[in-house]
Amino acid sequence: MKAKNIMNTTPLTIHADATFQQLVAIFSEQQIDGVCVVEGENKLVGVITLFELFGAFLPGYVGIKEELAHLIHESYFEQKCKELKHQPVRSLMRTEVITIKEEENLIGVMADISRFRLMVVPVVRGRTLVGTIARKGLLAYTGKVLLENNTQSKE
Amino acid sequence: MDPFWTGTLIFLISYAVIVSEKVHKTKVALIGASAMLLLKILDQKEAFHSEELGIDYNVIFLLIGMMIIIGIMKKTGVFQYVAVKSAKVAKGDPFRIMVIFSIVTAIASAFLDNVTTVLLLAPVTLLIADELDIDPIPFLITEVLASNIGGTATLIGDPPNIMIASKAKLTFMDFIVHLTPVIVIIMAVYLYTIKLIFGKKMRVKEELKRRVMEMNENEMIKDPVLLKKSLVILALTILGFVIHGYLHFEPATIALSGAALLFLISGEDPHETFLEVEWPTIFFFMGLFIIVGGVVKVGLIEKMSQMMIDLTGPTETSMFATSMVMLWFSAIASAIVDNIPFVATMNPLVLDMANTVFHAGGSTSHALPPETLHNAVLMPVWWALALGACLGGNGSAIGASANVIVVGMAERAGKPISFLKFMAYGFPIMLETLVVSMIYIWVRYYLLA
Repeated sequence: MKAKNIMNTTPLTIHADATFQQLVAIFSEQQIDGVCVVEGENKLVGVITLFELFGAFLPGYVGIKEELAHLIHESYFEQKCKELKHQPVRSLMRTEVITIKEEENLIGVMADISRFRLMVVPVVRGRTLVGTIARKGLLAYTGKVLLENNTQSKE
Repeated sequence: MDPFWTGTLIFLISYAVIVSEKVHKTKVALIGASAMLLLKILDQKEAFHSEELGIDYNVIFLLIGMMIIIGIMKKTGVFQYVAVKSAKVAKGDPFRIMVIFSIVTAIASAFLDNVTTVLLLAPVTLLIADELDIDPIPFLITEVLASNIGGTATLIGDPPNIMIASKAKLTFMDFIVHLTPVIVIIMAVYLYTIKLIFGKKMRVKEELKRRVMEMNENEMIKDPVLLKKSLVILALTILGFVIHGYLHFEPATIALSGAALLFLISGEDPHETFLEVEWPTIFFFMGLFIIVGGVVKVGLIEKMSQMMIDLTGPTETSMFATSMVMLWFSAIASAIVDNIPFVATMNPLVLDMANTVFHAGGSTSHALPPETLHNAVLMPVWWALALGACLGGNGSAIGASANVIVVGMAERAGKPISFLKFMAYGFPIMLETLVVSMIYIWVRYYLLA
């Protein structure tokens, strides 16, 4: 099985200039945990997931010593929400993105997801986004194959 | 090519590339060491086994032992606990926090390496400054300056001291008796200076102070059992350092024994703990020892020592000018070059000079008798080298490894410290601490002697 057979060819994307507030709205309304960031004619420029979204709240020193986050005062969250509200997705997204080609086999995709803890894997042709494979999509496909196996066994 | 020029060229090129920072210093040291061996300036037996020309394993194993102990200990969260507790003792007042953090950093740096100390305390500093809504840069700079000052106080506080102690066969207590008093004076002067600079500038609202007072430092302690075990072992190791001279053990034996004991009782996985050892630093030392061994063998160090003798005129009865030149030269050099290669070069130079002055060059420099190494006339030169090399690190943002770490952390936290900003604080403080050191050496070893 190849990536092109199971990828979502009309994936949800977000523009690099969209705001943090718009990003949060998409994530919560669509119940997704990762989205590809594009510019122009579907040119992939980054990926943003819940990890980057929550990470945007954290002060730099937490990256050095994460336990310190437990000592930050309570109103910090609201204060940070105000700061982040109009920030463009471009400044928060991950730009070093692991991408795959349409011909990639399924196990290769699973290996990348497991190893790099990916939420969504962009499928590209050159720098153009042609589809995505999300964890949930892969899980649904796995379920479908298992179900077909059961049916074949009964027959 | 003549071995003298080959060895000298390898040495000079290695130094130049280390200073340029274009290539990682460990790679440079290993390439330089390999060149010394491949071009037969030194043979492998000399590089690995000779006390005069080879790797100083006393330094290597002392560093590794301490890195293991600290590597295990830092997992407990004790350093963050102490930092938060200190901020609360200061009642959230920014200037008091600055003073207490400087003192805590200096004391911690006297027993742990400076890089580890600032690596552990700087993130807490950033948190506290953020909570107080105040610029963290003055806090970070004053801490790292205090770290370099505090590290000078003991044998194990800073690598130059470890290297000097090993070559000069000085004990932990020698450093306590000769260097700790001047460091206490320097710290007092330093704290007074930061009071003049920052004392009146730092005011924050009471509600912000309350944020600090509401922090729960106990949340920082991750493993109380491991904490107790590692504190006991650290205390025993420090006790071991205090009495190693009486027991006739080298400091490396004490550090390795402490590390081995902590490994045993902590149940920590060696694979994981060894990741905490700064291997690039260890191999940097190894490479440097071989490079310097090469230039000792070809006679460059002897020539440099002769120049020092011609310039400062040391005699069997006084080395005053030598001490003063050594202090200032070491400081200026250490502000520009890493102080580790500098001291690695100066150690054999001092030994050669002592051999010329006390034995007319008749003895072997690496096997000078203790009465020569610890001669009251020579001792101020060793202390001048230690004070100059360690305190000189404050002169610039690249003068000491701890400075580089803090500048990097500040940048990562979105509060960059420019080279000139660091120097605006660091260089005058370096000059101030050197003037105090100069007066101390003059009064203690010449005026009162």
